[in-house]
Amino acid sequence: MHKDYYRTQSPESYLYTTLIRQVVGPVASDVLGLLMAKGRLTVGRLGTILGIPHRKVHAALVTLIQLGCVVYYTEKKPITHWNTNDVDNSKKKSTGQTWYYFHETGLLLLLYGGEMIAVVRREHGPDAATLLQAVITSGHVRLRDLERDDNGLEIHNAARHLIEDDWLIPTGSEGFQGVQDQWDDLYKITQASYHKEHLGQTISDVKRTAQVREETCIAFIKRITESLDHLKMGLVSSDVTSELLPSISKVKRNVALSANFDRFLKHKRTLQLTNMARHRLGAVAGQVYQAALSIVERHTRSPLNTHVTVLLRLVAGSGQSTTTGLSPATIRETLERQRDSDCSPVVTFRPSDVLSRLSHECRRALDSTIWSESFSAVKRPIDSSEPTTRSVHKKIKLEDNCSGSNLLSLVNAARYAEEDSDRMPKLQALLELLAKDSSVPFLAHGDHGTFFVPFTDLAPVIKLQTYKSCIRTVLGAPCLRILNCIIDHKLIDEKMLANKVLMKASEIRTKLAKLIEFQIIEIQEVPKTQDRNALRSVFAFRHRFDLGTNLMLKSLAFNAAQVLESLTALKIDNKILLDKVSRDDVQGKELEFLQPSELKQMELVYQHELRSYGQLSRILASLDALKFCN
Amino acid sequence: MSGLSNAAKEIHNLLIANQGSSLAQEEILEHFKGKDLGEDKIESVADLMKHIQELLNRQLINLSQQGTTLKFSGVDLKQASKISNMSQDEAMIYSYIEGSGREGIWTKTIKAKTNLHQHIVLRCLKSLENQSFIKSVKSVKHPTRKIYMLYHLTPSIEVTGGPWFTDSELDTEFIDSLLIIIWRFIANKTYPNLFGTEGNKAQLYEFSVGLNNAPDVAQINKFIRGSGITNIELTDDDVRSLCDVLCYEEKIEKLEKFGKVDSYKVTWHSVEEAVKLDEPEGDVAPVFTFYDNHKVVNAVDIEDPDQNYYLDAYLNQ
Repeated sequence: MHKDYYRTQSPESYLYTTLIRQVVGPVASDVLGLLMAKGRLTVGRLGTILGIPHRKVHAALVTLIQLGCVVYYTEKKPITHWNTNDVDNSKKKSTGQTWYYFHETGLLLLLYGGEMIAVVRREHGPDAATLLQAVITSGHVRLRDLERDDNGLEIHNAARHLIEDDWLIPTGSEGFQGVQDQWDDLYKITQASYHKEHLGQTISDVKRTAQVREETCIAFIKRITESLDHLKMGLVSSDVTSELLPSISKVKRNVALSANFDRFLKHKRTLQLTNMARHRLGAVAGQVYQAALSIVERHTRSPLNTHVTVLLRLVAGSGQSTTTGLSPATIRETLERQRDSDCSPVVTFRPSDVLSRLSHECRRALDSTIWSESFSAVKRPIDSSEPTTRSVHKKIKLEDNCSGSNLLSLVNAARYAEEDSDRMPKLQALLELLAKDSSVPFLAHGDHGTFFVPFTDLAPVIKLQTYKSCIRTVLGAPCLRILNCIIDHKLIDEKMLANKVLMKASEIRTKLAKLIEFQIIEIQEVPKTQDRNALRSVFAFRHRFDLGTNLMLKSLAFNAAQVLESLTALKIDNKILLDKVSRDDVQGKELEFLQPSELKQMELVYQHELRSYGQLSRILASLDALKFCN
Repeated sequence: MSGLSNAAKEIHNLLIANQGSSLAQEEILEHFKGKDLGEDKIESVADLMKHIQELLNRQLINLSQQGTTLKFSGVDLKQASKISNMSQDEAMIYSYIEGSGREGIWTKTIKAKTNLHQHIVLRCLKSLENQSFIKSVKSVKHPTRKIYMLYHLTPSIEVTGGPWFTDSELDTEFIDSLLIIIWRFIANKTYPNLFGTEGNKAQLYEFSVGLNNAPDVAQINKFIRGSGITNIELTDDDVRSLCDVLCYEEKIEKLEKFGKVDSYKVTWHSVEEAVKLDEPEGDVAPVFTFYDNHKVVNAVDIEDPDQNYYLDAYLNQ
């Protein structure tokens, strides 16, 4: 199938098929694109539509399932609800077909894999990064598959760190199956057993459905929790000893591990919030906020809140012919529950916890944060001692084995402890500033002088801020001025708008056209006459956040796909040269084997590649803020 | 005034003395009660009407009706001689233009009210304009309409659009310079010494010096008046509308949440954009966000436009 088909289908389809084309190959890309278009298909149908042999489709599907880009469902014999003796009929219905579905998580792991690896490298070291890279490129791995004689200890250590920090999670066969199918199966079983139990009783259909739904919900949660607990049980244990790893805790070698995208999203949320704090309150406030967030990051709920959202959607859609979606009351209740979980004791912290997480540089910066009249006249006392402290630090770093260094570090530690007690009121004041910000609730007060991060209230703010920043950067500051005025007045006509934003009518019209083009605002006709004459009507403007965000997401996804496509095109255009460079005999001796023109071309290729990846990371930075903050 | 009776002159003088307000016949009668005017007498309504008619014939008086009461106002001699030299149509059009005051009157309205042919209206307007009796003004509300008013009158704010308009055009340069001045004033109050030469480091201005220093609209207006930046008189409402624009641009913020109505503080990112600040030590910002855009130099590769990616690429595919 022509690749333009996926380009025009949807920006997501364009992005993901381009990505898979680059990572796996064209057949897998076609299979994925078709699954995105059709919802679900069997191997036979996939092969027929694409005109590819079934064997090739199978091979592509295996890779895609392994990478978590596709999930499957094998049909089982339908449960006979009412008449258990009607066996013949049920046999007729049983086909045992396997259906394949598109699954986004695997693609997101591939898309953000580079960033995930970079984060893990920074936080857990190169071994952990290598392990995560192996997990992302293979979809899931068992430690026994990676172990060699010389690297067993490093791998186990890295795996333990990653599991403890939730970057890796165990995965079972349920992870490759569609959640919807699992729910449907369970619903049917529960329904059958319910009917059997209440046979002959007069229960209304509505009540019957509600009770079946409730029972299914309980069973579903139980199943998910049990399977996860079962997988996690004894995953990391300290009592297991082996010849290779005699004294440290070790990870079970035969459990399949996969990368946890939710954990990465938590990290991204921390970064987004830190950047927002930097943007609103300054760099030191950003550092303090980052330290506070890093305390609670692991224990907080996922930004996507997948389990709750999926479950609620499944419950809302089951047992009826049409899907009604979530009721506003349910959404409100869920939000309230999420708000309660935001301030649970696990995710609260004290100012002293934050101070202990701050770097020495940040602590020093803290000293000069509060402005005072006397600052410009009097120098800070710490300034006088600062140069000597720094020079001492450098010496210690260079002379690691020097016996005097221990003594010096002890002296420094004592001095820092003394300074910390002076800094505490300033830190407290800074945390108060974060808690009392006029428009963004960065922090909130908990019990007994603790603080917590109100993630539920912050999520829409992150989204809105990113959205506005995007509008400001791409469409310009005048567009933001107009948009904010429209948001402020809710519904406003052009004349009023011109009075408020003090811009020329012609300029306003141009900017409004731009905003309308991007579906950020919409026009509402306000009739002035009884016959609703359009000539006499006034046209007012209102802001539509949902529509605007959707289109912006689509545009960003499209741009990301364009960058990826240009990278693929670049590699195809320079295939001969790149093949030559990657040859074993050429590697390391490029200056000898390559012509000057080839060297120049290589430089251009690398520059293009570097620039493209820079652009991609910039696009993804706003894409994830808009997509995953819920 | 030659040829006018003594009583008529007296009535005219009385009406001219009451410039701005018109008098009813009872009030005029009351005024002249018992006064000796020589041969002429103003003792009854009939006497008064005789002299009023005299004045009317010479265009020295205007009639108006308020409710059921007839009222009179005086016309000065210059004006009267001007009108008396006009043709009948011109005088009629002139009277409507005069009646519209500082708001002015649209040519279509003149035509509708006078019931004259358009050619005649246009000819009369041209003649009156040539004699500098009337002038045409551009209305901000209706820029395409031709509006006339008396030559010596200053158009009202509704017509001119207030201080933001110069020659009926929005003076964006004036507005922009005022916006910059207001922002700097609030910035100096929020983060003192921000534009000073000493100690201009990022971390010094982390905290706003407190909400007590945040200026309100009256203070800003006082500063503008005191500094002599403009000779246009700005009201508090004008300054408030400028502050609103700065709020829409997210350069300043209202402090309503802290119970300070009409007070403002600048936003930190607007300071970052305006002033080159030093990054504090140990600051890590590994991931690019849209907030950092102002720091990205040469974000657009001009040499190779194919390298750019546009947000509307999806819409224009």
